[in-house]
Amino acid sequence: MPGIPSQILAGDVYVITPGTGPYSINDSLAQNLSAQTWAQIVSPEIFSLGTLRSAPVVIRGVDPVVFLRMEDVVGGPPSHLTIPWALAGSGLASRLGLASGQELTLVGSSVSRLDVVPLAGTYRATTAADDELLVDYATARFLTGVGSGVYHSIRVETSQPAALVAFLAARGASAHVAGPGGSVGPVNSAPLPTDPRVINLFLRYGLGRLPLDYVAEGVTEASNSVQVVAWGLEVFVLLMVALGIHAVQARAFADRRATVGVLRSLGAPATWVRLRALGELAPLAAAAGLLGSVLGFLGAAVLTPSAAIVAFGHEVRVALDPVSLLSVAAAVFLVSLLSELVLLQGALRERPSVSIRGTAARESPPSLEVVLRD
Amino acid sequence: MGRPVLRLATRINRRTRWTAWAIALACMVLVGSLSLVDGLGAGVDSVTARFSAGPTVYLHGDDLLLSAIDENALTAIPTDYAVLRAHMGTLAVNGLTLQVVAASLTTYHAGNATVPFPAGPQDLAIDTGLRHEIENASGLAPGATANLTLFGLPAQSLSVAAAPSARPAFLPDTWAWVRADFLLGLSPSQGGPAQAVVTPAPLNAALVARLGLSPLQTVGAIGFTQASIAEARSVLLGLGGVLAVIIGLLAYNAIGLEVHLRKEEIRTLRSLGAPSSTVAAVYEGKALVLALLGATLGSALGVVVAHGIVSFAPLLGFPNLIFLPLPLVPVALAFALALGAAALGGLVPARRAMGLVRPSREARPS
Repeated sequence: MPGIPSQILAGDVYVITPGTGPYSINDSLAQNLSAQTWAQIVSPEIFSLGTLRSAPVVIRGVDPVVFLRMEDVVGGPPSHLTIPWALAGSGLASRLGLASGQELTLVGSSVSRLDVVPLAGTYRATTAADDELLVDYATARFLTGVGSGVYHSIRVETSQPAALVAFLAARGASAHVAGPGGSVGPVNSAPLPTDPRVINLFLRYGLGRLPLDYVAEGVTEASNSVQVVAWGLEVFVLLMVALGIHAVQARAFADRRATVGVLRSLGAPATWVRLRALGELAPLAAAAGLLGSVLGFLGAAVLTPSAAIVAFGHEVRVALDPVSLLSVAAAVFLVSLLSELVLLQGALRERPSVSIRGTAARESPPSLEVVLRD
Repeated sequence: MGRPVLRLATRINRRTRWTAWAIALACMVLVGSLSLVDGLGAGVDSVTARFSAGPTVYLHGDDLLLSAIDENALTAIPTDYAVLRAHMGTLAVNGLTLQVVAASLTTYHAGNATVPFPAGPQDLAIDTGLRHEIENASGLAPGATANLTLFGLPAQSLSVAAAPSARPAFLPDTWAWVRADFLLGLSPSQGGPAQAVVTPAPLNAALVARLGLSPLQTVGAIGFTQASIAEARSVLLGLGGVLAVIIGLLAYNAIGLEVHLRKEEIRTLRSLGAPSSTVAAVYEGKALVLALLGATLGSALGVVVAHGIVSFAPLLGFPNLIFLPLPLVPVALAFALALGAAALGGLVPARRAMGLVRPSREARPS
């Protein structure tokens, strides 16, 4: 989920967005880029955020042949596309029940617009584009208010990002370039601010003008924001799981509290008791962590796509990521060991006789005197 | 008897304290998660708030062409408004056959209807974009007449009129315009109902609901954000449902154990003359007290942890656009869920407590 904004904008290729200088993301730049030998595919694009049948949808104005080639879509677009046309990714089509020949009601992005566009077909992609709607440039310009001959971004598939940056610098184009590994850097443009608090104040209070290169800044902030929310949710879930584990272990430990007292009365040092308890627990905790991670992954895979989470119009896909699985297992393992140490510490602080008899654990019930006194 | 009931219900011991903590944890997760999502929504709203909203469009449903609105019912609208009809049709002109949207616009000013264009009932106003398309494809300006096919009926020959001079800016210039009475005459059942109502400002929500209309956000970025945040909220509300079940079980377990351990005390109370309803009130009250404590503590923790995450994220290299609002709705939801679930969870043990009585001397075996 955290990577969705940058996946939408760039995917696995390099994306050129406007810089702080004069607007340079235009037809001329796209044509010159297409003529370079190091640029395998060049796709100028116009973005429109909208709704379709009340669901959020990313609408992209593209050259369908170029775009679908960049997204490795087998078969390409339908032949004889007549303007206006729309093509829907298979994920979006199945979610919203779209079929070729239907008329789609589309709305504007940052300006008020309403249009009806026929759906000419669908395509299947393995990228974020599978959840998007493609339209012709004229429709995209109408929906976004973007003028003739200019675009929001140009995506370039190349193995030589340095050549791309050098080309832009030589041409005097003001742009930001970002790629699969993150930002490549500004070209003839001021760098992105490292602290966006001033821009955020503008946004919050509606004062001042946003910078010209807000697209790059906005995508970075959107990615960060989604990432922070996703991690925040993870922190909350981790806290819940940690205290759940502690509660279960506390219940199990209550039955074995007397054993600690027996061991202590037989002269076992506290460190030995701790190591022995951890030694007993570690294999169980590791196995439980791994089993839980695998069950969680399998559960998510089984529930997808019928119960898939859709964020910002894109389905959050379940990926078999060994690092994530092992991280979850490691977190469960550590929480379990820490919980055991906390519980042991409490038992070790008691006198062995108290642990054995369990007298302290027995609570003296408050008598009825509170009632009788009244 | 109210005061003793309250004092007994608010007795907190080690067991019930842990239950209150567990409820607090569940509420913290709910309040914190919803706060973060609301904060993201508020941040993105701050960007979209800079967009001009434009006129408000109301449909019946969410698809323009499938919408059908009874124009006679619209007289209840107190302000000026416009009625839009739109249908897919086939236009034959200059030897070309094109799929077009055939639309009509009727404006209402102080209750008086005006059709701004075209002038005659058999006129067809071809808009500028569509006109250019025809010129580009045929090499000629549109001819004097054109055939328009609508609703699967035979083609109608119409006079081509000038492009509309005052089309609303939010509509495209690729539509063909006819008068509403032409559509009505062609097919009262299909051409009669309107597809959209356009007002300069949002209407009263109650009136909109009474008319069976839904607003269509024509500035998509606003609708996109709202719908995306609504999706995330619905997922978290599902989590809220799960948490409610957990809270209910926690309350059931804690109160059930209390009733079990205090059997003798309950019997003494009953033999002192306490009615069964008082005993039930003590244990149902205890469940509610635990939920209240848990929800209060959990809400506070959720707010603090959410603020902590957002505040520390920039220090870890994640400057963000999350503006955490005052989480009134999440807190209210947490309280409602906790109290509701605990009340339900405490119901069974409280009823069990009602049935506990000291056996009478005569009933005891000798």
